Formats: sequence, structure tokens, C-alpha cells
Amino acid sequence: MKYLLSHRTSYTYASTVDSAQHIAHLRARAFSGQTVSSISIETNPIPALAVQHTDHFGNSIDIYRLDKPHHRFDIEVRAAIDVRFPDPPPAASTPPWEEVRRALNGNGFPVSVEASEFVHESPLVPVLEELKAYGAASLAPGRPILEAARELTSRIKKDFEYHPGATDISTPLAEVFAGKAGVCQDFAHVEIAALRAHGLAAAYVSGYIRTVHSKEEIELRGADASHAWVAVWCGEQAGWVHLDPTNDLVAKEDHVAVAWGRDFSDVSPLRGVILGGDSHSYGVAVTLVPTD
Amino acid sequence: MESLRGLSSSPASAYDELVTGQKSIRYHWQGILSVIRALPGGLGERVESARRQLEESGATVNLLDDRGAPRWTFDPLPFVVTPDEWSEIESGVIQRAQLLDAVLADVYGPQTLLKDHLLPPMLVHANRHFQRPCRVTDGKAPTRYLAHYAVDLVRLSNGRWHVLADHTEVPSGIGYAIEMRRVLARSLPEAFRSIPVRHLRPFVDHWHDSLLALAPAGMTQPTMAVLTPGSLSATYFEHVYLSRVLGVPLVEGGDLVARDGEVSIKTLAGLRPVHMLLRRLDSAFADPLELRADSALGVTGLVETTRSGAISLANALGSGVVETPAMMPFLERLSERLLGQPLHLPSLDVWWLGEPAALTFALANLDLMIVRPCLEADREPIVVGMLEAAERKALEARIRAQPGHFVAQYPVTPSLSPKWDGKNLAPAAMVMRVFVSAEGDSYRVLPGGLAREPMGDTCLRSLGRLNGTLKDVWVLAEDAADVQLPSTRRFHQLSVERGGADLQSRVADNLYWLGRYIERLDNDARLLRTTATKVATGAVSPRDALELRLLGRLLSQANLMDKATALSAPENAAFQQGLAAVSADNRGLVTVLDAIQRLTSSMRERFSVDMITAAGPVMADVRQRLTSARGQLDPLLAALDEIVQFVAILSGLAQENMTRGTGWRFLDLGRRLERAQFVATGALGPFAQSPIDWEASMWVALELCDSTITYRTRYLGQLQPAPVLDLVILDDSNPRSLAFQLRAMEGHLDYLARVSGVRVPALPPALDHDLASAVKQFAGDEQVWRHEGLALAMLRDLADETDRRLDGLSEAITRAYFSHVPAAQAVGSSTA
Repeated sequence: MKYLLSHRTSYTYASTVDSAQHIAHLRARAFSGQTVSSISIETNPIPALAVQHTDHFGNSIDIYRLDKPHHRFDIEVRAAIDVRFPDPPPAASTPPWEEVRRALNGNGFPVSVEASEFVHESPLVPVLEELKAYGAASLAPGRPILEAARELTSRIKKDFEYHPGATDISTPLAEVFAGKAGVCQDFAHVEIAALRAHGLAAAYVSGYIRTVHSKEEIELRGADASHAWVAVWCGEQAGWVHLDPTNDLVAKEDHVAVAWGRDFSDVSPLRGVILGGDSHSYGVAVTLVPTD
Repeated sequence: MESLRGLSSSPASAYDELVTGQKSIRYHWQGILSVIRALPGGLGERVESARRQLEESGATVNLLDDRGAPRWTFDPLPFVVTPDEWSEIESGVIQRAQLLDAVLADVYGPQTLLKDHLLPPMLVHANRHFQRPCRVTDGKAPTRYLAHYAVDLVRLSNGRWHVLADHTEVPSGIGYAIEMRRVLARSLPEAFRSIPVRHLRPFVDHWHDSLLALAPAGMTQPTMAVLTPGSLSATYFEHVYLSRVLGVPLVEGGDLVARDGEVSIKTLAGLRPVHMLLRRLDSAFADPLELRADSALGVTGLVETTRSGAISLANALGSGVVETPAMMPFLERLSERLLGQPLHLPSLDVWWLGEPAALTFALANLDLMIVRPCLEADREPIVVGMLEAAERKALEARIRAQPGHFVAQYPVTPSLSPKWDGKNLAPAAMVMRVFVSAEGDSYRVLPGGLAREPMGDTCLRSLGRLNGTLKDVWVLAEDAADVQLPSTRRFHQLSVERGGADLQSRVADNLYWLGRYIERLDNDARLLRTTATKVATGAVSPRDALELRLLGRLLSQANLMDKATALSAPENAAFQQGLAAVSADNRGLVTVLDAIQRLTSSMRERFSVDMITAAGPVMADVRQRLTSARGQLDPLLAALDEIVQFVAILSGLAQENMTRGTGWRFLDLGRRLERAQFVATGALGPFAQSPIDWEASMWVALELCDSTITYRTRYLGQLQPAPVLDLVILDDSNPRSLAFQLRAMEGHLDYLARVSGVRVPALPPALDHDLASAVKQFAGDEQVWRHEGLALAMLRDLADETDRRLDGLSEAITRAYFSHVPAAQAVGSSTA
């Protein structure tokens, strides 16, 4: 599926901002699931410094430094992206989850160094007993990993209420779990915590989801904003499979990935430090238009 | 002579540094022991002299904390090392520094060691010192990750030195080593004359240059600074000390700004680029943009500036990742791979429990072992044999749940070295910290170090901190001719500098406000004292009542009494009680004391020990007295006297002990401005109120300006407005007059304009002229000024105008000189 993407973020400040620095994870990365045929970012005002790097996880980052006083900051990314996540293997054919765990541990020297990084706790995903128990319900002994992970994904969709405003980015995971409500990043963190508690590797993926407005089709949540889901490592052979707990889906053509990391804090689309400004408000507008 | 009591009681298994198996004193100790034997007054006397020096007052800072109490004790007996032994240690430590540097370069670069099964990935990925944003993917890699390094060594019973701990994130202690040597050189000079001890100075001389050599290439005149987390840091004094030893500025994150592609220090004269930071701030806090967002100590954009190669840090950000003891079991193989050599200096035997074989072994021998978390911030050892059954069980469960988070090792038996216990020499356990610094392609080792008697039951406790008993390390020279007497000077290589424009804006700002608050404290205390003295004399005469009403108004304006009470009849008990209740938390006096305490403690290094020792206890005492004075006038008066004396002492010390550099200028500028404002609004305030209280107003003005005695001597007691006003407004020989303050401020502003190139205009000369004409009005016919009120109105307007202009001046100073930086705040998006 080919898409044209526009993602615009605007900060408006109550008073003059003397200087600001922002770091963006906004450039969709290319990988086996998608190709990026064009991508560009425009900012206003024009920053004194704009550099692009690749981060530790292989994501693209942009750093902006604004040295002149300003009252608002706009940043817009436009991209043409072709999404074709490979079909995951039949769930029943994936290895038992314990085997995947053994590979990730490897007696200290895991088979996949890259995947093993996603086993450990991370700033927003601590080890929690209640999440270990929650995950255990899907991880019956010997069960194929993808089967278990798919069931876990469905359970999260069923057990949690999608409720924007119920949480914000500072709401601790334990509170999200206790309240059984939240938004896509909360559900992703819940699933990640439940899998990692059992020694499995789970990554946080930030991106977008196709929003469909016609009556015939099911309306998918996460519309008109950034979206987030989970990638689960299913062993050397199957690799990473992208699962969306907000919509109980396996990513195929409706998900556009931008970046991945251990949790939201590694791939926050845009964050910055400003001097001055008093209070600020921001607006986000995302349009993801299929062009096929 | 001191006996060598107790040497025979040393545990049989510990290596004895002093005595051989045949019970004879080792050769290299004989020199120091014979020097001690020959001391006329014994070692005890010298110990005292050394202690005094460590606590000595003076303009330079010493390594004591603000209460003057050392966190460590000083053992005058050095630890002595032979040349042969030292050269082995030296080559081992240099090799280890090179190895750790190479490991860091891989961990923050290609990470091939992880893929090749030489280093368990978890030791990096789950390590809280691993800073992902510092991973170099396309930016510039630091020339050196480990620009300097400290390593704790312990000698085991087999006589071999082993590594106890590596310090790579912010290696500390070198300041203590240098200071210890200086003190010992002064208190035990005969030892240095007769024993060929290698000198620390060449190392220190090179240190500055070799650090600067790591600054980005292509700089014609690279500059350096010491980056500290600030005065609340436990090792702050070492930061101050190092900045002086190296002769470079001490800066906090707030003093630095990343813009125009470089990092600069904000100074009075504008931005001064800096190219090398001796980093004493934990990496995690160094940049709120890319590292911990909640850090208020860092420099926004620092990571990107290192990536672009515009600044180097010593050590590089994230270098703490190799500190974990879990690294130790892998160093042998890493050395073969990265250096192509076997490891010269072994580590202690450490088992990383993430490997199943190590886990099985450790669990089987758990009761004999010490377990330490190895990836978290808290790495305190757990002595398994000391645990209760339930605790042991819980520990075992924790280990089994996350084995990779733990290391296990056997208890360490350090060697025994003689220690001065106050009367005699006695054996004590000893570990030694050795310091290295990058130089060219290799490293240079400080020929000395810091020996330490570890605290507690295992020498693995509080490894990062330098608590306990510290002693100097003497490395003997091969050839006595190489050795000069060590310098007893503490600092060297300072360029001649006259407190110029390099002063950080933040420091100037703090000094200015300290000046204002000290003066405000003085003014408040005088106002209160004048009032309390009147009230305390008992019966209030009608004349007293008039004066007290005027004072009450001023007290209310200064937020020293609440308004209703201050304006009530002074004859009433309510007024007196309100007066005695100034110690209430929300009152001016207490907030001013708080502000002074905050500012002095954040700038401790800028004041002499005298000033700090004068200020600390008095402040505590004044608070105590104020609190206990509730409702009673006598203790209040005593407390106020104390405040006034305290301010006088501080002024005296500032006047006599601070150089007249920019720092002092700002301190005094603050005081002058505050005092000028006090004269304009406080002392002249009553004149603005009601013309019927002439006598009372004049008396209050003289009293608050501390000018009563001068007036009496000059005019023999008769109060008349013209001479009174002349004395408090126009007489620039009176240090409490308005004119005196204005002249002093002009001088300061001139000086600051000259050194910084930024001029803030003083108050216009027209104001002086107007003030003179206003005072002149009162010299004329009494009938006129008394009844027409014209002169009074003129005076009132001028007092108001002066006050307004002083506010404006303070704003102009703030804008021109101080880091006018609004608070930083984080912004960010969330997802749905």
C-alpha cells in the first residue's frame, strides 16, 4: 500500500521563547516492511542548526536549534511511503516461547544481540509483578510464541478501554494497568511489560495508522495522530512481528512505522527544551492518504 | 619511639606491608621509620600541625565541608612503594586504562565485542551507565573515552596487587592526593629531605596540557573548564580544588550554553567558548535534551556539540559503562582481543551470575560469598554469611529471578600497612587508589596516590566515596638525584589575572544579591532595634509615641510587622508583642536570612574560611535567638545586636579579604544600591508622612542612618532639618548618606564598564543637584518651610524619584550583566 503522509506539529507559546532545541523522531525508517521513496521536513522559523543522525536503534533523528526569539514553532514532515509488512508465519509454526526466551538469554551470549536488548526493563516499562501475572495467562508451557503474543494482544484490546485523556505520558505503567484504560502508547507499554517479564523481547514502535472514514469499513482508532504498537521477536527465523494491541491487529498494510525503541521515551516524535515561553500549547495534524 | 604494638596480631593470611615472614622490617620502610624515631617531639606533634593545615583558614579553599568537619581523617604515615613494584603497577594500570578505553570505543561504536561473544550484551544494554544517545553512528567519536581514570588496588596474601574497582565515570580523589602531599611536605619536611620520594608535580604540570591536547583539533587557543553539578555535590570541594590546581574556571551547567556550534561560558563580557570540560557531572544529567529530561544541571544540546566535534569531555559521556564489576571476568579475553596482550594486572575473582556455570557455583558457595548488584546505581555488597535465614532466601530468589544483575566474590583480605593510631603505629587494612591521565597515545600515572583504610566489614562498601582514613602514597625513586623537594605550594601555573570580565554571570548575579540581602538584613535589624529599644525602656512618653508611630509605619512597609499591629498605638501590649514576633516564618527578617544562607552556601568557594566560619554558626545562633524571643523584647534585642555585629564582621572581612575584582564590585554594588534605597524610602520616609512630627522624623532619620553621634558632635544636639538632611543625603563623607552610596555606585559601574565593555549609566548628576536644592530650602526662613509645605513636597517627590531610579538601575544591571535566562522547560508530544 502506498501512502502520502503529512504530519504537522505546532507549538504556540504564551510569551517569547528566547531559544529552543528540539529533537525529532519523525523520519519514517526504511526496513523490510516498508520503503520510503521521499521524505522531507520543513520548519518555521528556520533553525540556526538542523542536523540529521541515525540513533542507536537505527532510527533517523533530526536536531534543531533555534537561537532567535520566537512565539511559535511549526514542523511538518511529508513523505511517500510504500508499506508491505511481510506476512507473519502461521502462528502455530513459530517456536515455543520458552525456546525463544532461551535464545534471547543464550547463557549470557544471546543468539541475536539486537533482539536481546529489548528483554530488559526500560525507563517507562519497569518490571511489575502484576504484569508478569497478566502475561502468564497467555504463556502456557510449550505454546508457540506468536500464538501466545496474538492472544495477549487480543486480551489487551478486550480488557482495556480506549479512553483519550485517561492518561498522559507521565502516568506510570502500574497506574495504567490498575485503571484498565488509556491510549495506544499505554497499551503498547502494557504488552511490552507482560512479554519482557517472561524474558521475551518486545519493542515499542511509533508510527501512524491508516484512518478509514467510509461507512463500509471498520473505523480504526488512533486517527489523526501518531500511533504506537509493539514488535515481538519470534525467533531467528520469524524475526520481528508487529502487533497492534489498540486494534488487535497484525500490521500488514495499514501501519506506517516511523521509529522503534525500548519504549516511548526512546522514540518520542518531538521533544525539546525551550527557554522562556511561559505556557505552551501544541497542535498536531496527521493525514495519511492511500494512493494505490 | 613508638612501639610497633600489635603487629604480631595481624591475621596470618593478610600480607604484611611492613614486616617480612622473618619478622624483619622491609627495607623500603626503614627510611620513614627512622625519620619518625628521630622526631624530637614525636609524630603526634606533627600530626597536629598537619591537621591544623588541613583546617587552615585563608583565601584558598580546603577539602573540608562547610561545617569545617572533615568527612575523612588523615593518617600522617604514608604508604611506601618501591621503584620496582611501582613500575609493575604502573604498566598494569596503563594497560588497563588502554583496555577500558578500547572497550568503550567499541561499546559506543560498532559493538563487535557483543556480537563476537566477548562481552555479554546485557552488561551494556541493562547497564544504567550506557547512554544510548552517545552511541556514535555517524557523528565524531571522541579521541579518548577515558581521558583519566582511577583504580582501586588491593594486595592479597600472595603478595600480588589486584584490581578492586575501576572508576571511569567521574574518577575522583586526585585532589585529595595532591593536598595530602602538600600538607605532609610541610609537616614532615625532614622525611622528604632524607627519603627519595617521587614528586607529584610533573604529573600535575602535564595534566593540564594533556587534557587540553584532547580538545578538538584545529583550535588555536583551546580553553578548558571544570564542570560541576554544584555546591550540593558531596565532592564539590574537590571540584573547586581541581579548578584551582589546573587554573581553569569552575562552571555549572547553567553557566554554559550551546549555540553557534560551540559551547560557551556566559561571562560578564559575553560568551567565551570552551573546548574541553573536565566533567564532574554524571553523564545522565549532562543534557536535558538527549539524556535525562528532568536534569536541571546539564547543558541543553551538549551531546550534539560533542557529536559535531566542537567540544571534548574528560571523560567522554557514558564512560561509566565499564565501571561495573561484572566486566572483570571478561577483561582477560578482551585484552587478548583488543590489545593482543595478556592482562598484566589481575582483577579480583568475580563471578558474573548471568553465566549459568557461575550461577551454579555461586549458589553452591553462597554462604561464603559477597553478592553485589552490578548494573544498578546501588552496588553495595551483601555479605551472605551475615544474613538471617529469611533474608538469605529472599536474596537467593532475587538472584534466580535476575541472575545477570548480580556478581559474587569471596571476601577480600587486604594487606596490612602501618597506621598512626594517635599514640602508636598499628597495622591496618589498606587499599590504594592510583590515578592516570591520557597522554598522547598512552597514559601517564601519578607517581603517588591515595591509600585508604576501608570502612566496615568488607572493603567493597561505598567504593566510589572517599570516606575513612586517608594517607599519602610515597613512590620511592630509583635515583635520589632525580628527586627535588616537593612544593609546599598548593597551586601553580596560574596565569596572572585581576578578577576581570571572566566572572560567570551567574556568580556576579549571586554576589550582587548577596550584597543586597546583607544590607537588607542590616537595615531591618537597625529598624527593629531602634523600635525595640524605645519600647523596652518602659513608659512610653508622648514624644516616644510619635517616633514609634513613624517606626511602626516603616516596619509594616518592610514586612517586619503586620500592618494592623504596626499601626496600632505603640503604648499597647499588642504593638510590643507584634514586635517580638518578627521571627515568624513569613516575616522579612527570616526570608532575608534564608536568602543569605542559600547564596553563601552556593558560593562557598568564593569566600575565605574565615567568612564561612564567621557566618555559619552566627546564622544558626541568630535564628535560634529569634525563635526563642517570641513575645519577649530582651532576647530580641540581643539577637538584633548580634545581627548588626554579624553584618559588621562580614563587611570587615569583605572589605579586607576580598580582592577588588569584579566579584567584590558586584557584592558592594548590591549593598550600596540597597542602602541608597533604604535612605530614600526608610530614613526619609517619615518626612513624607506628616509635617507635624518634625522632631521625631529627624530623630528617626539620624538613628536609621547610624548618624546620631556624628550629628551630636557636629551640631551639639539641636535638631534642625537642614543639617540633618545634609548629613543623611548630601554629605558624601558619611558612609551612610545617600550621596556616599551614589558615588560608590558610580565607581563600581565605571570599573565594570572598563573591564567588561558593557556600560550601565549611573544615576544622572541632575539628581544630585535637585537633592542639594531641596535640602537648601530648609536652610531658609523657618516660617516658610514649616508652614508652606513646599520644601517638604519637593523632598518627598525627590525621595520617590530616587527610589524609582534605583529600581531602574537594578534592572539595567540585571539586563546588562547577569545571565538573563528564563527557566528552561521541556516540551513534547504524545501519541494517541
